[in-house]
Amino acid sequence: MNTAAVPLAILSALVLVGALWVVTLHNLFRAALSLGLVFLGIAGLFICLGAEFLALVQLLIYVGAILVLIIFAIMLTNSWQRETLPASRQRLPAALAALALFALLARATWVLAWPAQIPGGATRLKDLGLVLVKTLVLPFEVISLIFVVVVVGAIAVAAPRKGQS
Amino acid sequence: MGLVLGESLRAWWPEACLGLGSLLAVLLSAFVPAKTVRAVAWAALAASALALWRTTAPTPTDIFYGVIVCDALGLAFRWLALGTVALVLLMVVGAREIEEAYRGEAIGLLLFVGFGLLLLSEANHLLMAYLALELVSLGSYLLVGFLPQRRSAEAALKYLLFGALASGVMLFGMSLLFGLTGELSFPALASSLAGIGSPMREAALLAALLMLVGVAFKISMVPFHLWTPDVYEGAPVAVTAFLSVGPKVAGLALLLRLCEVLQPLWPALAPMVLGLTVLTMTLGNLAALTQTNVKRLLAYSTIAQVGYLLIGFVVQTPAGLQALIVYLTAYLFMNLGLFACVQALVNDTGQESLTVFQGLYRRAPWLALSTALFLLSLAGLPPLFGFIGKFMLFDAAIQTGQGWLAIAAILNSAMAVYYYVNIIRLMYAAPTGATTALRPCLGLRVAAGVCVAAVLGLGLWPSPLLARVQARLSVEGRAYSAIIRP
Repeated sequence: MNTAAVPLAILSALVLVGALWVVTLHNLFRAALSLGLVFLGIAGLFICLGAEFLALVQLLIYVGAILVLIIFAIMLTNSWQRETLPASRQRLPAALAALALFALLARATWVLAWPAQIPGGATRLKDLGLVLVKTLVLPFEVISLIFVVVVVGAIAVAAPRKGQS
Repeated sequence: MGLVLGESLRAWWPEACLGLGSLLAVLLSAFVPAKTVRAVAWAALAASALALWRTTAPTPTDIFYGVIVCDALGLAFRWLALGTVALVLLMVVGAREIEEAYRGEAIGLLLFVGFGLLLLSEANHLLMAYLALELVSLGSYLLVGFLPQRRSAEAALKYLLFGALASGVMLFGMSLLFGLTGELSFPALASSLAGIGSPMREAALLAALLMLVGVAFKISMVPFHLWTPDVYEGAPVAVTAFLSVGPKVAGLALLLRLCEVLQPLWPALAPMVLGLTVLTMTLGNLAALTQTNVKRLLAYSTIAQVGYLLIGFVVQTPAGLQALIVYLTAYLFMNLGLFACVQALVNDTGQESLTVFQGLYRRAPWLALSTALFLLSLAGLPPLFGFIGKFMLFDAAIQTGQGWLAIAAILNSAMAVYYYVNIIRLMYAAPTGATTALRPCLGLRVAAGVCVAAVLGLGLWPSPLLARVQARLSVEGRAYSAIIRP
């Protein structure tokens, strides 16, 4: 085992443990904090793999925005102190299905020799920016439409109705 | 660079019109009554249809750097998507269960989802396909939850959770494929997969399987159909109508393109897809036999119809592709027409059990007659349009020597006649409860009228449409096997 793999292994273990806590902890608030651990671990993995920009985005968006939003939602629904059991009826089948998917993916990818870098791939910030406004300009714009849909739709769905108390 | 964008925008007017129209609609819905939003929506749809009419010739150049492709296949699916949105718009406007105060937002969201459907029909790039699929999915989740009732919220949540899982699995597949080939655009992926070696091939096969899961979820193919009845039951009728056609149209378009990309792997996938096709129609029909809620019944009927449609896909011939598009057209009109009739009934009675059909013949003879026409067409009886499409599908199966597939489909059709005709029996033979006359609102009458005209007219004179489909889909000389090749 070479030395470069050590931080990767530690970070991967961190992500795995965090992910396990997310789905097994009974307290929603703690589960959300474990999700933060997962996000941090993934940001670390990105740094180790030389994708600094992605790591930064991961921190800004996932830890800075999404996690905070989830925690706000939990605190607003006033359920953060209660011990809420996650749906426990189908624990075993769910675990088996996840393990089976993992085994399949691991088996298929274990034997492969991955290319170190995709030829022509954009990793530097400047290249990434150019790709986003040039070849991928349409998907980039469609993402903003998706945001409009989600924001407008969420407000419309959450608005009070006559039929409700 | 400016040149490419200018050229792209010129070939992209239909989407631009619909996209701008949907933005304008959601913006206006905050300030003006739903009537104005409706007018904007119709203007956007009309502009989009006009633009689509004028871009009939397939554009050969790479549009938006090859992210989308405007070919004959995409053109057919874009027309189907626009037709779906127009008919569903009539239903959303005529739906009494959607509150007037939020109708504008519902119309805006519908247009956005329609924009996603157009985009998905012509996506030529994994990233674009994924984003278009998410646009359609997120819009659908929200539309499902538009009613104040608890079951509507429950349906939306169920749809969201299942959908998120399917999207996640699909992304796994896409990332694996990208890792293997380093490509995202469909033509590059196809050429890269053509020369793939042994250990990579198994991984690519797994990637293909995972990606198919995402699409199978969208078109409610067995075994990823479990969400369908619950979601259809909880959603507003107009949204259910949309879900039963819109995502199926776009999902099948994506399936056709993905299959083209995965052609080198297809021999390994074919037996499984073939088996699931038969399973889809059989399970759908068997479950539909015992339903008592009309929306659940139509959900299972949709699953069965998707099974028939998939025949056109699994045979992998130009005849199959043409049959698929013709039957999809027929399915659009008969299913949306039927939902327009159901919407009229739900508006009047507020109930959704099959008993609302009892004695409909006395209360609204024309509505009963058109409902009967749609049901018979779904069952595949001549001389209606549904028969033509089904005949072409079964014929395509027989032509490729898969007679047993045709026999399985015919047995299934026979089984389906039972529950379709049962509704007709209720309308004409069962004793009636209420006797007051039922008069649907104008929008629903227009929707049902258009669908009756299409189901009857295209059933009796199908040749112009068939000739057009045949000419368009082989105009590139290579048809099916080279649809996406540059």
